[in-house]
Amino acid sequence: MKFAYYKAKSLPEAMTMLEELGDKGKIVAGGTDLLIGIQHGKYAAPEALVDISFIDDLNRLNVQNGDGLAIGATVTHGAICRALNVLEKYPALVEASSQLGSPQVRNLATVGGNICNAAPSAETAPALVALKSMARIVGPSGERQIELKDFFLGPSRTDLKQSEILVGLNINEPPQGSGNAYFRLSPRNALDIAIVNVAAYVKLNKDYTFEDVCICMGAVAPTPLRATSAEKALVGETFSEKLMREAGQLAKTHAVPITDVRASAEYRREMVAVLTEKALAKAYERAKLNM
Amino acid sequence: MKTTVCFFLNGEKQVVKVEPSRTLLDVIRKDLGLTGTKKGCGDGDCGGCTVLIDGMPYNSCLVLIPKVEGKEVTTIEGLAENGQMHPIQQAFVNHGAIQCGFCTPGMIMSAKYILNANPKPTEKEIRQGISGNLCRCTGYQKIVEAIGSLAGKEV
Ligand SMILES: Cc1cc2nc3c(=O)[nH]c(=O)nc-3n(C[C@H](O)[C@H](O)[C@H](O)COP(=O)(O)OP(=O)(O)OC[C@H]3O[C@@H](n4cnc5c(N)ncnc54)[C@H](O)[C@@H]3O)c2cc1C
Ligand code: FES
Ligand code: FES
Repeated sequence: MKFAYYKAKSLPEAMTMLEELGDKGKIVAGGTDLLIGIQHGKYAAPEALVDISFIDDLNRLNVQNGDGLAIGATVTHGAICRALNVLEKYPALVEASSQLGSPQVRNLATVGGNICNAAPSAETAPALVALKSMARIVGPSGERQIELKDFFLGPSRTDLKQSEILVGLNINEPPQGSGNAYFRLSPRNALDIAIVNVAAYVKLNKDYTFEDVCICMGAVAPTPLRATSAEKALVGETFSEKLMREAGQLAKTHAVPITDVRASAEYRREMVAVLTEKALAKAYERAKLNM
Repeated sequence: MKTTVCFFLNGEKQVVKVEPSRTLLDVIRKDLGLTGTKKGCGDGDCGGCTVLIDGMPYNSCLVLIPKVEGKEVTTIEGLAENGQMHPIQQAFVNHGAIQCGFCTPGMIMSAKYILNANPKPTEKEIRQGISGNLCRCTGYQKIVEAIGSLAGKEV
C-alpha cells in the first residue's frame, strides 16, 4: 500500500486538489472502507488520497429546532452516538450509527463515507433515506442537491461524478405526530455488517390513522430500497398488529436479496418482513408519544 | 514521498519521517519500537491495536499516520508510572483477566476510555465498551469483572 497523501484544510482546497489529480486522486474520510479495500485488492491503490476529514465545515453537526438537521459528511458515527440528547427527534439515525462496527471503528468512520461507499448493507442508508435526507454535493460545476434515495446506483456506485464531494446531508425536522426507528439483524451484535436492515418513518393524523409512511430496506437489493407498496397500503389506515404483518409481507415482495456467507436469499426475504413489522411498530409507538 | 509527522506519544514529542500510506500501528511498533500495541488482524476487527488518540479509542491499524499530526497518542506503555502498574493493569492481574495476554493491551486501552468517560459504568456499558476487542481465551467474564471493580475509582 503506497500513495501520496494530501490533507485538505478547506472545501475549496479539496476541490482544487481533486481537480488537479483527476482520476489519479481519491477522497478519504475515515478510511475504514477505503484502506481495507486497497489492502484486500478490492480497488487498485490510488496514486493520491485527499483527506477531507480535517475540514471544519464538514465536521459539523447542526441541529436547529424547527429547521432540522444538517450533518457534515465527515461527522463520525461516534459523534452521532454522543449527540444523542440533541438528536432525540432522529432516533433511527442514532440507532443505525450506534450499531455500526465497534466503538473504535465508530470514532474513525464517517457518515459520508458510509453513504459514498454505497454498500447494500450500509448501516445509515435506510435510516437517512427513511428520514427523507437530501444529499448536498459540491463539484467542479458548483453545488447541487439530490434526494438521498436517488443517490445510490448499485453496490459501490453512486451519483457522484469525478471530483465531486458529498458535503453533507440535510433532514427536515420530523413533524409533531411522527416517529422513526431502525432495526438490523446481524450474526454478531458488534463488528459485523447487517444481514438485513430496515428503517421506518411514520406520520399520524389527529385520529391516529397513518398520514405518511416511508420504509427503507437495506441488504436486500443492490441499493437501499423503498417498500412503496407497503407504504401505500398503510396510508389512511389505523395501526393493528395484523396490518403491520401485512405491511411486512408487502415489503418482502420488493426484496431481491442475494445468498452469501452471512445468509441465504430466502432467510433475508423472511427477515426483511419481520424487521419491517418491528420498525413500523416502533416508529408508530414513538409517533403516538409525539402527538 | 515521505512526509514529516509530529505527534505526542505517551506524553513525549515524536517527529517521524515516513510514507504517508503507513498506519499509526506500524509506525508505533516498527519505527518507535513500542510493541505493546498488537497487530491481530490489520482490518479493524480484533481491537488488539487499540490506542487512545486525544483520549478516544481507535484501531491504530486503520489510522493513517498523517492523521495524528499534533495529537496525543496513548499506548499501553504510557500507563504504568515509576515502575508501578496502572490500576487497570493491576485489576486485570487481580481478577485473572489475562490468559495469553494478546488482547490485553487493547482491552486495557478500551477499559481506560470506558472508565474515563463514565466512572461508574454498568455491566452492559462495559460489555458494549469492549465490543470492539476480541479475546480468544478468557470468555470476557473476568475482563468485565476487572473493569467493573474500578467503578468510582481514579483511573
Ligand atoms: C471493522 C469494521 C467494521 C465495520 N462495520 C460496519 C457496519 O457494521 N456497518 C456498516 O455499514 N459499515 C461498517 N464498516 C464499514 C465502514 O466503517 C463504514 O462504511 C464507514 O462509515 C465508512 O466511512 P469512512 O469515513 O471510513 O469512509 P472511507 O473509507 O474514508 O471512504 C469510503 C468511500 O467513500 C468515498 N468518500 C468518503 N467520503 C466521501 C465524501 N464526503 N464525498 C465523496 N466521496 C467520499 C471514499 O473515496 C471511498 O470510496 C466497517 C468497517 C470496519 C473496518
Ligand atoms: S489489528 Fe487493528 S483491529 Fe485487529
Ligand atoms: S487473553 Fe488471550 S486473547 Fe484475550
